[in-house]
Parts: sequence; C-alpha cells; structure tokens
Amino acid sequence: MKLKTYQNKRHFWTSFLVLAISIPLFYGCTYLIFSRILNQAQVLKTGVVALLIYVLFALIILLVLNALNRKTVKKGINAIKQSASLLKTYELTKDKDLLNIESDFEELQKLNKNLLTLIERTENAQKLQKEFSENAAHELQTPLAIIKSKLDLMLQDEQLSEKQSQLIDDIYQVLQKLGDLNKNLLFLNKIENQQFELADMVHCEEVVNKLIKQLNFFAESRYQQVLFPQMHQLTFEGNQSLFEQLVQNLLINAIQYSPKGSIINIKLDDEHLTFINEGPEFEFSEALLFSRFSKNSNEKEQDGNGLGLAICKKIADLHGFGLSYHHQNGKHHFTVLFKEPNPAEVA
Amino acid sequence: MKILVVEDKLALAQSIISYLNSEGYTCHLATDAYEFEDFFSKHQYQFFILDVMLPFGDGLSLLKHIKTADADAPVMMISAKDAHDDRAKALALGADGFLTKPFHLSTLSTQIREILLQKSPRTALLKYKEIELNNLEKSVKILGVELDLTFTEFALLRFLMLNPNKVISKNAVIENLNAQTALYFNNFEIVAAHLHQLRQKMGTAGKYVQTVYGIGFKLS
Repeated sequence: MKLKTYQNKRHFWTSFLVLAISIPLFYGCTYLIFSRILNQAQVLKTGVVALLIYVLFALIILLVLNALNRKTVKKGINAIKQSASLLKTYELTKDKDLLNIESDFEELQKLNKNLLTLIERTENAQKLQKEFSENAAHELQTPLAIIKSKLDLMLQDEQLSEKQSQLIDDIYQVLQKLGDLNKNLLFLNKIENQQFELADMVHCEEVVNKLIKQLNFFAESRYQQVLFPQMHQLTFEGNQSLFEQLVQNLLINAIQYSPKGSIINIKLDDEHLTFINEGPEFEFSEALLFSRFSKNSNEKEQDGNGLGLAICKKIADLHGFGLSYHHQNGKHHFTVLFKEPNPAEVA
Repeated sequence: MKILVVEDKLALAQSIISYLNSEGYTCHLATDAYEFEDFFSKHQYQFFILDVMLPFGDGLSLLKHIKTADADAPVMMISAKDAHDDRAKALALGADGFLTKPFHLSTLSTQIREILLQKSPRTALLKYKEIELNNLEKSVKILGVELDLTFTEFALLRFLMLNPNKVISKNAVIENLNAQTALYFNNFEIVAAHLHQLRQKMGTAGKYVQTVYGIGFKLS
C-alpha cells in the first residue's frame, strides 16, 4: 500500500493537502483514491501536538515498564541465585527440602522442579550404588567364609599328608588376600562416597600407642623396636576408626619393609606425625607410591595388596591432612601433615 | 552344652556345626526366623549363634527376642556385612560377640569359650595337662612354677589352650592375635618366632606345642 501526498501549486487549494491512499487493483491499472483535505497549518499544528503527546506517553510507559521489569527480573534472579548457592553447598540425601524455593514465575517453577527431579535421580543412583557395593561385599564374603570353613575342617583330618597340607595352606593365603582385597576396595569406595563422618575428637598419641601395642607381636617377631617418645599430645576433630586405619597401614609398612633387628621411630609434634624406618630407596616416584596397584616393580617383595598407601592418602585427604614421603640417610620418612583443620593442641 | 545355630547359608552352617560337634557341643540348626521361633519355643539352649541377615526376619530382632526372654543368654552374632552400625546395634542390644565373615572356625570356637568364661568366673582357670593358665591374673604356671611370658606369648598359649587337640592354621593364629587382618604378614615366620620363645620358656612342657607340616600348630 502506498501513501502519497499531492500538492497543486497553481490552484487556490494550493494551501490544502491532499491525503490520498492509492490501492492497486488488477495489475496496477486502476486506483481507488480516498482523500481527506486539510489546511497545511492545521496539519502542522495537529501533527506537532500529537507527536509531543505520543512521545510523552511513550516515555511514561517506558519508565513504568522498566521499573516493573527491574523488580520482577530481580526477583527471578534472586530465586535463581538462591538455588545456585544452595546447590553449591548441597549434600545428597540431606537437605532436599531446602531446594523447594517458591517463585511466581512459571519458568522458574519449572526449572526448580527439574532441578529436584535431577537431584532425586542422582540420589537414587547413589543409593543404588551404595546398595550394590554392600550387597557385592555380602555376596562375596559368604562364599569366602564357606571355603575358609571347609579348609578349617579339612585341616583337622589326621590322614592329611604334608603335600595336601601345603596345598591347603596355599589356598588359605590366596583366600586371605582375596578377602582383604574385597574389604579394602569397599573401604576405598566408602571413603570416596563420603560415608564417614568427621565428628570424633581424635587423640593422636593415644591412637599411635594403641596400634603400637596391637602390632607389637609383628615387630617382636622381627626383633624390631618401635620407639615413640611421649612428648606431645595432639587432638583434632576427625574419624577415629579411619585415623586408626591410617596409622595401622603406615606402621605395618614400617615393620614389614625394614630389616630385622632395626629400630622404627615415630615422631609427633604440633604439625607432623612421622614414621621413620630403615630401607633402600624406592625405584618409583612419590605420586606412584600413593596410587592404587602401581608398585609392582618387584612383585616378589610385595606382600600387600597395593591398596594400603592409597587408603592412607584418601584418609589424609578426607581430613584435610597432607601425606608426604622422602628418603634421607638410608631411611624412609612417611609424614602426616596436620594442615587443616587446625588441630587444637591440648597442653 | 546345646547351641542353636541360626544361619541360612547351609554350607557354612554345616561347617560350623561339624566343627562345634567335634568340640563336644550339641547343635541345632534353624535356617530362617520361623524355624528359630519353633526351636526357641521347644528347647532350652545354653548358647546362640545368629546370622544378621536371615529370611523372614533379621538376626537383630531375634537377638532382641532372646534377650527379652533371658537377658543373660550368651549370643554370638555373625555377619557378612562389615557395617559399623550393625555391630554397634548388636552390642547395644546385648550381643556378647560379633564376628565378620569370613572367619576361621577356631576363631568362632574361641570366642564361644571366651564368652562362656566371662559368664562364669569360676572357670577362670584353664588347664592342659600340667599347664595352668589363670585368665584373671594373666599368669601361667607349669607344675606350680610361674612362667615369665610376654603379652603375645600369653595370648598365643591361651589361644592354643582354648583349642586343644585342634590343628590351628597360622592365619587363624594371626586373626586372633591381631583381631584384624592377616594380610601383609609373613604369617608363619611371625607365629613361629613367638612359639619358639614360648616353647623354650615352657621347658619340657614345650613338647605339647607342636608344629604341623609348617602350616599350622597344635596343642597335643
């Protein structure tokens, strides 16, 4: 549609405007013209006033809309922010109700609903995995228990020859290894799923003393002495049984891998717990030392299942502690660094 | 002594019963919670061994049942799950012991004896031929002469005296000494070193502590 203005200068209606609308009909041959005639001055005046009113109106509407918009957008963003910050600190299975944020916006309600569905799905997946781990342990431990009990019965047979006894013994050893491997893998899995709480007040020196006493039969059989001078006391908030496991693994390693008749030193101060024992330098890096199943350079010398130090590292990580190793003057040094949380020293 | 074994894994239950029979106990077997109810209402038992996971019910509720009827009844729980809560719950409900599968039968048998010893202090004295072991005083006398034993040697001798005439594998010995894992150790070397010392201290009575083909030990 075209809008045209015609102006005829030669006639008396020069001062009039012809407002015409032409509509093409049938291939542009015919025009239908509607017109309205106005005085030019009138047109100008009316036009300017209308324009002013229009601009003013538009401005007011813009301002009102803007204000409204800001308020609603802010509300929406706040709701999203709240969800986001909750998600950051959110712990599975614990505070799901916190995520039920109310909002007037359909889109946000939808988003929150989807978020809750996602969380539910994740929770279900975690629950299933947890159940699977536990059931797997159950299912594996039972046949192991049966084999072990049958061997125990077989061993009582008085007709047993030396050769047969040796075979039974070989089975005992692998069975023990299998059982422990299963237990340790589950244990690692449990730590990774954060199924342990750090809510005990752990007295470090007491744990060390307890395990020295518990493992003394091992050190004694190798004519070794474990020395732990009682100068320091250290207490921190953590998990008692996990920390005992950490100390146990480090102490077993120290006893196992140092020569007969040697001395094992354990030192405790405000920041470190160090296990020092004699032994030749390792051929592998520190990083490999703390990873799973990686220390197989000499399978013969390795009696463990390759998970002991990996478990130690996980336990240290969980507590926010460091675990480091160095070799100096022919001695291994394994050190637990109590960095965070700051252990509250008890004088 | 009559023991009720409640365990749904038949192969394991048969091993347990066979071993306990050889030690002079009479055993009945219930394989689920219903069978337990049946046996429990009809017989008197001096000891109970309960699996935690059972068909038609769980061991913990059976434990509650037994302890309600007789708070003093000795109960040993066994479980394939190493769940911390289960152990804590069982002990809170009054269980006298908790063993995680897989365990050695000699460990089970020792625990049964330990529990029975605790229940009747009169039997604090263990005897084997001329050897006398006092549980309360933690002392050992041979023909009236007291031996100077280390903690480990005492524990070893005690374990053997609780299982006389049985072949005990070295793993079982470590399982009992450490109450944890037998892995990481060259087990025979450890036990042999302690037994060597023990035998020397026992003098002529040391001959009762025998080594079986380098795989186990026997008090005989």
